[in-house]
Amino acid sequence: MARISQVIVLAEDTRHQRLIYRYLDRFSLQRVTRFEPPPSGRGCGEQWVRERYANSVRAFRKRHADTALIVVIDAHAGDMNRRVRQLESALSGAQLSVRIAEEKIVHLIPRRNVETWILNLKGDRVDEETDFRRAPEIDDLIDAAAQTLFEWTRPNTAIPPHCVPSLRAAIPEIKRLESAQ
Amino acid sequence: MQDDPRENQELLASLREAIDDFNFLELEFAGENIRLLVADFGRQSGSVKTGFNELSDGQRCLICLYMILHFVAAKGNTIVIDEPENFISLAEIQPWLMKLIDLVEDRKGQAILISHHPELINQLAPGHGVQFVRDGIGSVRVEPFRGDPDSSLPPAELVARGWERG
Repeated sequence: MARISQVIVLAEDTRHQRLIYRYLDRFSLQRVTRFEPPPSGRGCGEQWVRERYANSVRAFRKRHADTALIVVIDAHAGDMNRRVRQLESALSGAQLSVRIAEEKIVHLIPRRNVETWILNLKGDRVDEETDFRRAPEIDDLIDAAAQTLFEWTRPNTAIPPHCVPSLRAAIPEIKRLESAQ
Repeated sequence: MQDDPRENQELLASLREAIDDFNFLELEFAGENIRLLVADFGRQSGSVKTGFNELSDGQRCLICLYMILHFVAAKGNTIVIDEPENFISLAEIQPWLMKLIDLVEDRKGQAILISHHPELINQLAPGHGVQFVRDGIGSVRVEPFRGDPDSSLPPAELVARGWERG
């Protein structure tokens, strides 16, 4: 991984946070990771991420290149690209330029939600329409899911066919963290 | 610590990350049947040993908090701490708290933290918070932290505004 001195994480709830926390543990980055506190209301996490996004990018761009920003927001039932457009729109609304390839700003957009990814990383063949938020024992699967995510993001790793599209799209995003400065 | 060298190594790794230039802890001979707990600090150019009682309040608290993490929480036990953030710098609270949450989830332990600190309230209140409430001179009750389901304010901000009960 390229040199990173700090990681800021904008994630919609604590389960998203834990998956990222466990993933970053593989790079010994836990200690330098700052999670923005999620909102009080349950169920409004994705709205909160969208509202916070432009300010987080603005703050990120004032920092040195060694900082990374990871944004984790569920797509829910909508199209994943809808979230991408919403994030872009948040930037333009704040008079900020669009994200460029060299910036260590990572968009992770699980569809339908992060639980879909956790089950998929565990090896389950899941679809992106079903809501798995109440699936049993999800929290117990997070570390194994983070390990699989780590393995799937290693260079030249073949991604298994059961990988859901939103997770497949996330792999090049995560590799932004590892791109050369 | 001496009974569990592997966890001891984990503790030292945590402390090296948390405290600048920290190397290790050791018991130094100070007379028959007397040992002093000292912390070793420094880099290649030389190290300095400092008695535990000479460390700052923050350093001592960090050492204790990470010891509790590695030797109590990591074994799946229940921990109860009143205001764990006392004497700890703002930047130090979340790394310890995230590690605690992770360990408690992983090892099926339990942690009861009592705090007014925004870092703890923001991290824990939405999913796990309970609050002590009293109306007028009535008895104190314990209620789940309700917050405001429609609010995008952080939980601590709701508490600061007195809006935490909806």
